[in-house]
Amino acid sequence: MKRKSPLRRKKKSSSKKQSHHSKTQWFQNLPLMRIFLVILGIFVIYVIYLDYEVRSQFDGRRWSVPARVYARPLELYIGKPLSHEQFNYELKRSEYRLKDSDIKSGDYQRSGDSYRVVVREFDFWDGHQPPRYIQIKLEEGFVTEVTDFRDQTEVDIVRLEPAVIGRIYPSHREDRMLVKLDDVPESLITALLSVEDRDFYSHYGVNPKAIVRAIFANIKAGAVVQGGSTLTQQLVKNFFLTKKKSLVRKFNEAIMAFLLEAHYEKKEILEAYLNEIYLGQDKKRAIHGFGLASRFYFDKPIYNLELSEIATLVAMVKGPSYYDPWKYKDRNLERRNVVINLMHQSGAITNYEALEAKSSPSKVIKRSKTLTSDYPAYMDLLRRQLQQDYDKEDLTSEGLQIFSTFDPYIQNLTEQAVKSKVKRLDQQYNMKGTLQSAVIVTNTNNADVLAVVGDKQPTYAGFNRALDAMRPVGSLIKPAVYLTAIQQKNYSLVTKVEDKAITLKAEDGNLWSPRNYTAESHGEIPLYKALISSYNQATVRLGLELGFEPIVKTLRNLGIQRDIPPYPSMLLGAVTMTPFEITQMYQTLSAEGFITPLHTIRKVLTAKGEPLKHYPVKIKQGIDETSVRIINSALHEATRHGTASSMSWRLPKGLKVAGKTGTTNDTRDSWFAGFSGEHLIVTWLGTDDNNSTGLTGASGALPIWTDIMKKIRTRPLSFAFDDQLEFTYVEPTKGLIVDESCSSAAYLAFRKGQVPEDHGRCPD
Amino acid sequence: MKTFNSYFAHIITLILVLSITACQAPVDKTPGWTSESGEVRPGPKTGKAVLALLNKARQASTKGELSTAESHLERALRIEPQNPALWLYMAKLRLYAAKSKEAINLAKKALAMSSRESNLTRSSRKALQADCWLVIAHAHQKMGDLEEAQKAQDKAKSLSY
Repeated sequence: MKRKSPLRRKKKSSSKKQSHHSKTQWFQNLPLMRIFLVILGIFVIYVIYLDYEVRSQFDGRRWSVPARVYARPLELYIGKPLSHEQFNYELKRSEYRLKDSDIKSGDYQRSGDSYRVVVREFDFWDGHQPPRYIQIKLEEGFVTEVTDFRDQTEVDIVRLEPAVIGRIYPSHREDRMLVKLDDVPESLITALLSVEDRDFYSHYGVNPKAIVRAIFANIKAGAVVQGGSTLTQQLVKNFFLTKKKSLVRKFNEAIMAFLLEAHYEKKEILEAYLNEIYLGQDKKRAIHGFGLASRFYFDKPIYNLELSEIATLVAMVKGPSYYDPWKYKDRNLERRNVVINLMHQSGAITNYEALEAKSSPSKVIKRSKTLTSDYPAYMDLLRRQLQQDYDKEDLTSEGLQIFSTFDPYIQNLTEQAVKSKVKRLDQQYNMKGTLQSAVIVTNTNNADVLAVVGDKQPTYAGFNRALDAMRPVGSLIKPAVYLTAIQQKNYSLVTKVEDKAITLKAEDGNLWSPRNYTAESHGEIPLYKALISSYNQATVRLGLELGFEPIVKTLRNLGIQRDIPPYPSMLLGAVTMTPFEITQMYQTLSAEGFITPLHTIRKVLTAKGEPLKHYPVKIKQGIDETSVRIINSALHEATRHGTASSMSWRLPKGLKVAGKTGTTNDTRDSWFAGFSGEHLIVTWLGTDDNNSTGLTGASGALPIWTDIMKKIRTRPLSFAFDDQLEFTYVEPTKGLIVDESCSSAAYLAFRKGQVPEDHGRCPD
Repeated sequence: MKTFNSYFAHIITLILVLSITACQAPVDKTPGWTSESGEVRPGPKTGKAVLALLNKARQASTKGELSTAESHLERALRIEPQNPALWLYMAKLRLYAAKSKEAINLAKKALAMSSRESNLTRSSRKALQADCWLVIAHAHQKMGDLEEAQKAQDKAKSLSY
């Protein structure tokens, strides 16, 4: 860059000075004028700045709309197992109202075993479902009829729209449902304008007439009864400015309102106002905009509002908490009627309409109180998986719809079981309130996570033990040891193993002599017996025979990603894992060797209903299904004659399940992991500071597990008649074939060619 | 190897045809459900709902909307998770979407499930299993693993006589 010589510049300025001498003189003589011009200059710059601010904010405005997390939708079809209790719970959870007659969208009726439900319309990830008029019959715990009650046609399958189970707020806790101006009823707009801003369509952002009018009205009344702010000013106030009241702010507000009007059409400003205005509070959630307010107060889309309802909403613009229709019903009604009168005065409605609307009682819906509990442990898992599986950029967009795998009914059962059982066990074992628990329930067929509890107080959002408690897993690891043996085709469930004292060098160089829980050794026994009775010495001997590497590999193939140190104590579960990791391991067992990562998210849609990158069902065969089926037949036996046999009389007759207890040193941890043909449940009990509890897997975690399993509608475990498998009854001492009638006989799976040939006697 | 490739050209059309026939008759072999009375009992058949969803899946897949088709199929699988025909259909959708590895895994799941179906007739089970092996063969071939493809194809052949 070239610089002009200072000399030349000086010359030029001096000549200029000379030629404008008189003018400069005048200017210098008027310091006031000079100050004025400086101020004017600053003001112009300030206005330009505000203009930039207004335009950039308004053009690039991103409504703060939280992501909504939905439960899984309830599917209704003939053959669906569904009890009256569950159906009523689900209807309540999705905010359906029980009515006697005249049912509309969101209502239901019941007479005996039959229900009529008007299912609300809903945009699912795979298409739109219009409102459905469904008649449904429940008999003996199953859906036996689904028809359209208007035209009596059969309905193959229909979904109840899912309940919202949580919201994820990008920044502050503002919630809204955006509306377009065209969807807003004309009468709502006339009501709003006749109350808040009569001259909206003619002013330029600020309305001096209204201010004067307001001042007179306020003097007359001796109090502030009317405001002079235009809608535009109110919008600016909400949109750009802080809540602080000051003259400077009023000044800014007026300029910004003026600028907003200069740049944008009335229509755009009005639409923004309708979406921005604060209209109520639901605990920590702020209700913004008429779209959500309409749902929140009346459970209706905005275009279905009646006159009296419209007036109620407009009434609340002035002060949503002061005119709260639940808390201050009369005050709200009074204000509503003022709004109706103003509408009448402005000629928007007839006298008759006004009278009718004013005589209408308050129509706000009953607030559901008990059902608003949230699910901190599940939502925590969902949030982590969202961040892990989706692009960060996508997640910052507003108004995402997240469809989860959450099952509200099972979660409720699980919470009840944890709350009552932990309390009782805590008292029984004198734990002084320190006993804690974590439970995870999944679907064995697709690895959907259905319910998560991470605290004995399930709604308490603190330490999430289900995901973060790292605990020794004890005998829960044993199936991996035995599965490793079965995979090496020279082992069967009746191969002999030695349950005999053993001493070996541990990782720290010391000698280690594992003992059995009962301190007894059992000598030579069939392999399955060592597993179902959880004998430590036999397991260690078998593990040493197999070697650590293949066992670690089996654990990896079961979906455990953590590094497992190949030390002898690993064989008895000295490794620490979280309940979630254990669930993944048993998920693979329950899915017969196919690994599917446990997941909470089925689909994520943007606010416009477009799917975000979808991660479809992932599935990989980790271990051949035949080996897993063999181990599962032994784990089923554990629930009949093994460490978990106490459950058998508590479960429904015919419900076959499989599972394994886990107890760690000095009863610090009590575990049970087990599954039916449909559900996997993992339960853990212990204390946060790792104290002894006195509880074994069978006396602590198992009763909670049983409590949940017996209440879930589930399918029994069914054994596959695989081409490569044969089943037979064997006795537990030598593994010889016995008759089915032998009470201690185990029904076990064998590879073809490995079925024991010798018959034995049923031991007493 | 030439005959091998031309064989696969035929297979693509064959799979299309089979995907319709194999899925026409879904089978529900659930041993039943636990009920309020504390026993396990079978409920009414769920086949109607599954067929309706399969129809939707088929309509979507013929329009080339593979992910919508998959969504419908996922719903059907939630109703009858042990139905091998549904898993096989899923495997085929992945094959069309050029996700060969996933197609193989799903076909293996279908195979594992087919051995559970005690009520399937011997011949229909074999046809279904043969179909699974064809999907596996085709997927291996797409990935360039001709040896594995040949093995799978042989298995398919041995099942369909």
